[in-house]
Amino acid sequence: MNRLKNWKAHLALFAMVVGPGIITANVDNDAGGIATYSVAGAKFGYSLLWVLFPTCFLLVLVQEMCSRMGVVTGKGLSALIRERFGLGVSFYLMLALFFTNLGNVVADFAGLAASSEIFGLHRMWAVPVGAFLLWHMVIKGSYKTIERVFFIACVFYVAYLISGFLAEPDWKTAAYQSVVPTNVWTSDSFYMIVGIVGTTIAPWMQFYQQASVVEKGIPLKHYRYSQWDTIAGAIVVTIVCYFIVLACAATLNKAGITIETAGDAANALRPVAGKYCAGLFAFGLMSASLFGAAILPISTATSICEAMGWERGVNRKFTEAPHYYSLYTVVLFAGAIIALSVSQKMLVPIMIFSQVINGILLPVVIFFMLRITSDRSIMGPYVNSKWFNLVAWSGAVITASISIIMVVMTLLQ
Amino acid sequence: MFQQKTTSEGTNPPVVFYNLSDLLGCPIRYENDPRPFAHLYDIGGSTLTPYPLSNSLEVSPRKGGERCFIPWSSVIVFTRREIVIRKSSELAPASDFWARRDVLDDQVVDVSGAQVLRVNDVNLIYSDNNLIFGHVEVGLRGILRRLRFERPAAFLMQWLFDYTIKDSFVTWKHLQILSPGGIPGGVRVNNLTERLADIHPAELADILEELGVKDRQVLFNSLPVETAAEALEEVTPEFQRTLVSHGEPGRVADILEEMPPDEAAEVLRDLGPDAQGFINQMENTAAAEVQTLLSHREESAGGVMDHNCITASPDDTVASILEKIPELTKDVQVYNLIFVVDETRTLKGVLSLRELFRADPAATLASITTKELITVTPDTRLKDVAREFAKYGFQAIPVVDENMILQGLVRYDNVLSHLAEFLKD
Repeated sequence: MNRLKNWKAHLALFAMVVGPGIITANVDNDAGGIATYSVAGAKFGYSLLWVLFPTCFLLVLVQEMCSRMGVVTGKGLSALIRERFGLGVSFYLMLALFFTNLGNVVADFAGLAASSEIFGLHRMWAVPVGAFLLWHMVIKGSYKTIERVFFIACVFYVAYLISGFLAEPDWKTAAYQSVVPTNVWTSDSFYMIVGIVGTTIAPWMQFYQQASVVEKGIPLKHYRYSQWDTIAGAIVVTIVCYFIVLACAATLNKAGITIETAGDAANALRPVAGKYCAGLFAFGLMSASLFGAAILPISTATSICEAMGWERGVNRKFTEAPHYYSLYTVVLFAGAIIALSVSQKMLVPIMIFSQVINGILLPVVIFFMLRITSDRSIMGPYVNSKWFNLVAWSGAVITASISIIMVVMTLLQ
Repeated sequence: MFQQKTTSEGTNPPVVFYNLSDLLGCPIRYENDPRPFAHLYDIGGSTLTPYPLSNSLEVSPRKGGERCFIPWSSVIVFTRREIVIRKSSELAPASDFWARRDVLDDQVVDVSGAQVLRVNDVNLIYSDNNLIFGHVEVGLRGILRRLRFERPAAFLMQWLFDYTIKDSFVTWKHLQILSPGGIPGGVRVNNLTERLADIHPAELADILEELGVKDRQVLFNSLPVETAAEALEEVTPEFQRTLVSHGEPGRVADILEEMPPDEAAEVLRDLGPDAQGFINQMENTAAAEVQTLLSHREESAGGVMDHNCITASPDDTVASILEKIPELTKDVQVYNLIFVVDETRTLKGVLSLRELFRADPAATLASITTKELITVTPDTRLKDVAREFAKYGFQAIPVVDENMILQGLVRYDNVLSHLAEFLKD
């Protein structure tokens, strides 16, 4: 009885704290992410499934530091970087963040365009209407209502689980390949591995998760539940990725179809996997794109305003926080306009540009995070332990070198 | 002493303005050695005057190694190019704050505008061999200057839009720094909190909500107890919880005593089992009142009732009560209702101040008081209390037990604040 009571109390506290980790991790599966996982499945079948597990671990490692910083200091990551490393560094970091986030928003609107066309909705309708709805939601809404909407959006990812089952994968091979790494060292598959890690751990996520932990005002006492939230988010995101790879591996790879984008994947699934599987896949892409296009502009505006010391927050009115809403509006509509006006061919260099900045930014951000979380004057008793630092630094070095390799490889291509 | 004065008058030192960002990293040398041995890292100030004076410098040695401190008194030449000091055995005095560590790039409170701002630069005035902290820069221009874009950006904006990018400053007189303590064992002299006492509690609450955990606690701890109590009433329940649970129990108990008991009970209720620790530290009567409030269900009249009310005996005359009004209304929130009770505190009637003014001064209260009484019991649910308020339009309703013994009263605003939670937005 007592144990049951305890369990209930834990659950109640967890429910109070849950959100930032799960939402951040799910937005991570936006149009760009889905594209990468689909290509991985289509091109390499089940053979890259194992990559998802170490990636999940790295994700937890990085994101846990963010939510810890948020809970302990009550400040966002960009504020901490500004206070610890000064204005110059923060400014250029924010400039880079602005462009890479804008690139992600473009990818999301392109994903929205592609998925809505699968359902017979013209892109010239879907994208402007989507952009305007998102804009309206943030301008009129409060943090609580928006978080609720985002939570519901997370549920739509179930679409991928179902489409993974509908694709009737070869479970035995999948299970085997999840544990045993094969064909790592061909240059093609290595590029793909780098791509998977690179899209799963992106710089905006650190800024966003820490900012929403702060916004939620999670007390230090309940930090443990915030850790659960981070871990739960990483697990959910890994499961979704797993099923995307599975769906594409079981159908496209088997039929020898190559794809380049998530929209391609949804289209290509129809003849080989049936219309329900393809429809669900496209539906997942649509909600993921909307979700990403909603959160990335908010995150961009929040991070920049915090670093520069401007008023911010969804809970304020336009006149109270003009910089915040201007930045938000610019990122959102610029993303939509670029996605609509630029041809598919032109979109590729934009994506490459955004990925390169992403790749350069991530090691820098992780380096700053490790410096801050090791600083006792900032973190107090919640400073990184010796062992954590050992693991975190090696994890960070791996992630950083992977993203640098990605930059070099992208530029060489 | 006399000689020094004549030389300083003789050279007539000019007044020079400096930006902290331009000074940091400036080479430092001894007067008889042309090679600099260190760079300026930080400037410490003493808050004994409204505009603080620098009293020591923190420098990082050229060859690397630990940073060290130099007393301001040994500085001979102070320019952007170089700082020349004389060798001395004097120790650097403790500083109350450090410009780089506690102010530059950090959040401060502008007391005059009651807002939290991030500092883009610190403006210093050098005059008569004193370095004075003048203001902090919080506007776009400060950002641009530090990024070395000031001139092109200002030119561009002027040329394109005929717009002048404005400076925006906060003078040091209106500044509250939030980072605590100076490095070499300095205790922070807090003559700044009196500036904060002028801010409206609701604005103070906004400021508290905007700050990081540590800054918030520093500010909250530096407030006088009464101000802290008012601010605590205004912040949202989540912030109440964190402010109280991070505070020093003795001080928190003092703050809670200062608050109206029903508000204090509300704060403590949110703390769960930790609340008892604070109640134990509170003064007996206040603790007992809060304790009774907590013993009732939150959504009942007993959970929100106010124990402080004006009572009078049925035998008192109107004149005698009117005479005592200034004293009777001192500690109560509901000052226009008088509860007529006998020696066992059994409620006999209720009188409003207006009725009292209009009555014959010689009459006893028993003769003029309303006989029909609207009361609730501690167990009455707030929903039903609200219905009573809606029906009769009272400001407060007395709470009595089953024997009509007066327990306290429920104010309409207590009920309203509970019901407001259920309003749809």
